[in-house]
Amino acid sequence: MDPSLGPPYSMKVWLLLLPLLAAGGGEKDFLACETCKGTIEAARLYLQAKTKDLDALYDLLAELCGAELKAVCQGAIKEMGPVAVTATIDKYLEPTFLCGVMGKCSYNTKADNLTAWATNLLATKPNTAVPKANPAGGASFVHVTDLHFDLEYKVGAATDCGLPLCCRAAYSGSGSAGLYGDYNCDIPYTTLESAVQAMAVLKPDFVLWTGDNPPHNVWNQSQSYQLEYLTNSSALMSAYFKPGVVPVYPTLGNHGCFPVNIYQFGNEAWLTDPVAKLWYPWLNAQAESTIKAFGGYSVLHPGTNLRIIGLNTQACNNLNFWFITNVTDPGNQVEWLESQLAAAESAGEQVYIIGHIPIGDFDCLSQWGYRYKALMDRYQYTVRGEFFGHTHNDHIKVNRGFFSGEPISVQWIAPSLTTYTGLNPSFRLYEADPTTWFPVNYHQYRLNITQANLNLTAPQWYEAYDFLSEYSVTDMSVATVYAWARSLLTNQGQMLVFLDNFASGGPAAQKECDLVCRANEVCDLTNGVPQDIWTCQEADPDALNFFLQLLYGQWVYPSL
Amino acid sequence: MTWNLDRSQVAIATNTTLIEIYSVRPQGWTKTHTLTEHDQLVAVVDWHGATDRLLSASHDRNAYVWEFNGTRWIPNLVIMKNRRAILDATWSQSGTKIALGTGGKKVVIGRFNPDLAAWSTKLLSKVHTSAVTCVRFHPSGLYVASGGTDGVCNVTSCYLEIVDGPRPGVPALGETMYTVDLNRVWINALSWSLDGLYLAIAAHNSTVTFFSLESNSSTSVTWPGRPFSAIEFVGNDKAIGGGWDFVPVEINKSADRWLMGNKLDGEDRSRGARSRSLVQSMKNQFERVEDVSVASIHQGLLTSIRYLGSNKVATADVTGLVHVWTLA
Repeated sequence: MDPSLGPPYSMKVWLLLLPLLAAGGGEKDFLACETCKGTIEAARLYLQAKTKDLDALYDLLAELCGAELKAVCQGAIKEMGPVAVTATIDKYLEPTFLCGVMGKCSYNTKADNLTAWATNLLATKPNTAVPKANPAGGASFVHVTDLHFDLEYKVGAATDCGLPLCCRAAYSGSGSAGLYGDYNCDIPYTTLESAVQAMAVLKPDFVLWTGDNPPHNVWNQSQSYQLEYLTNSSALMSAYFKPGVVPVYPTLGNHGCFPVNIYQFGNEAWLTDPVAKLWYPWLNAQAESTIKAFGGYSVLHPGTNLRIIGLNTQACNNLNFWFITNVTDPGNQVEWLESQLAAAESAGEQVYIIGHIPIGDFDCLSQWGYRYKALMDRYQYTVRGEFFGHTHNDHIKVNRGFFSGEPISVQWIAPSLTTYTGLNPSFRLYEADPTTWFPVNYHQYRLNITQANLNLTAPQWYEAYDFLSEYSVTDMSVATVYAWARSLLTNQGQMLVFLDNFASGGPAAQKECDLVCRANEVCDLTNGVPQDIWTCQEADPDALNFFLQLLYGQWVYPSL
Repeated sequence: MTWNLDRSQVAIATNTTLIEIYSVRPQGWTKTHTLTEHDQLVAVVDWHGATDRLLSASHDRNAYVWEFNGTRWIPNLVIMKNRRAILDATWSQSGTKIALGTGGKKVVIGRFNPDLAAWSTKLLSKVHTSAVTCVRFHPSGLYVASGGTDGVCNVTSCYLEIVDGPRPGVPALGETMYTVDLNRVWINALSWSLDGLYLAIAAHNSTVTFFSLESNSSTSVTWPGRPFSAIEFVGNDKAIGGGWDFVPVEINKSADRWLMGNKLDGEDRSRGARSRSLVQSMKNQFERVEDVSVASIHQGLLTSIRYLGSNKVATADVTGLVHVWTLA
């Protein structure tokens, strides 16, 4: 299969137009090119000024929102509209691009050749055997993700209010919010704090905290609102996990951004400057500067050979509309990741990669995912763990060899702390071998929200299961995990156990799964890039992703 | 009815829920296996010689790919979203793809999915507007012909890049290139000539339509009896058809024309059938006739005709009888 993903349609359209537009162009002389650029630039500035007056348009669109979710829809249009319009103007009224297309200037970009890049990269893959993990373990760390706590959570408020987020005094409806949370809402601060206390009791060596702290009222948030949640949660974490004692390794999530999902690389100082300052005590000065630059970092866990690489997965978030302007290696993070892995390999370090959106999730663009896939294949002997969140569910994605298709490594995806929606609050404790740093088992901790609300005593966090005994497997090596995932196709009982854990034992859990359902699930578990999952499922990308791929186009580089 | 590569074994869908496999020897046929996985009538069984795999499909909505492990045939359920009976199933010539036709108007294209270690499928739902009664792969394996009770035969791309490799110029999966419209007459059976240039379409008005890919045109020949339910090319210019008259008939091409030829049963034994008056034979077509015995080896509707090579053709009927003919 040719992994150079999907439809390069937008490029195709332009290439078709190229000779047409160039027909009258004749000599690409300097003057004509400069005149063209000047004209386009003027038009762009004019239109950019005009977009400020587009409020009327957004108001008009907002009027079309259905009555029921009016506030939500209006909020979304007013937040997203300006980004989409500005990004579109930036892309299509970019002087060099457009004058190139019109034949007035030499059109100088070329499509990125993924296959050639991957071939080159993999040519240097060392022929070393992957070491065996010592099953006794010895190190442990907590992974917590998707906190989504709600400071406006009100005990007794309506749990069904016709909005995406309920359990707030302002929204009326039916139901009554419990003391520790509700399956239809985000969690109250009480539950968050009890979770962090429960984590501290386990005395982990460090904590992975992979983003998404604000609640789901995405239609009425603001920059200061996001910062409030980041500050608040960072303060809570540092109260229990003291910098210099138990480091916390955080990453940004799509909900930390404002508007949600929208992140313009190199232009988010409002977020990254405070964040870099907040997280500095757990990290170091170099991390502070890279967070300011693109939201990611790479640090050595003190006293060990373990390097933690925190990714800013906004670089592959499919709803980050700034990709209309430029989808090519946002923030140069792929390039940076490659350099970090190369350095780690030559220094003999082991690497954990942490991030918010799993690379195999349908919310992550496959173009980015294929680079990641190739990097994981190339650095198979250096990367010892990959930890993600975002989906709120408990599952995995197996990275496969870029050309070989062999199982390479596992993206471990931990379930959310929030109950949103239909889930029990969860965090995870990993046991790892401190020599190879391979994880050897994990223990899934949960709070049964129904029970907690009934008892009204301090919430009881309990170990719901551990990976090895729950799924009757001998170890956490990729070969074992891959074989286990494939076995679910014909093992309905195990599949239902997995699906119950998938929803953290909450009411959202699927109670049945026929052969087609199991096949789709197995495809999802055994592939690490969305396009590969769709291929396995004999499916096409969903309508949204198809449209977005079309909108963003392919990666391009300036040609010489 | 379907045969293995060296014609030493035959698998028969016995017009029940069972598939029986016989070992064929000069001294007689011995039943070696009975495959019992289906719950309802087995519509079709197809043996891919080179890969030695069996494909079976049934009114129970399931299809299986069977592999022989040395002692037993092991079924592997084809992964498919399907809620209707399967009416026909076939292997591509290379054995890398399967095609199925369903009562739910769908043409189904399947491939072996290494991620799942199972056969997974794509459903083409826009090819037919009624039940798909027959499917046959073009020898190239890139196109599939399908006929249905909507009276339309389509030649549609079944190109899968992951199986066929990059093939610039081949239309995308599900794109129909040729349509032969038989004006609402049910289509019963299809067959491609060995060179893939002609497609024979047996329809329920007793015609056989030959569609030429080269000239993109079709010509029909009419059988003066009951319609054919099976058709099979035995070369590039000869096909054998048969059905509700129980007798296999040759159709030959001479100088670009297709003509009805001889019955394989020979003139003598079919005299009884031939001697009936035109009125009587018309009456038989429209009335339920209890005694339909004719002077023929087969005493029931022909369900399948298979070309075995070296001038041999096998025919099977609903009573479970299989006969091998040597062509003159």
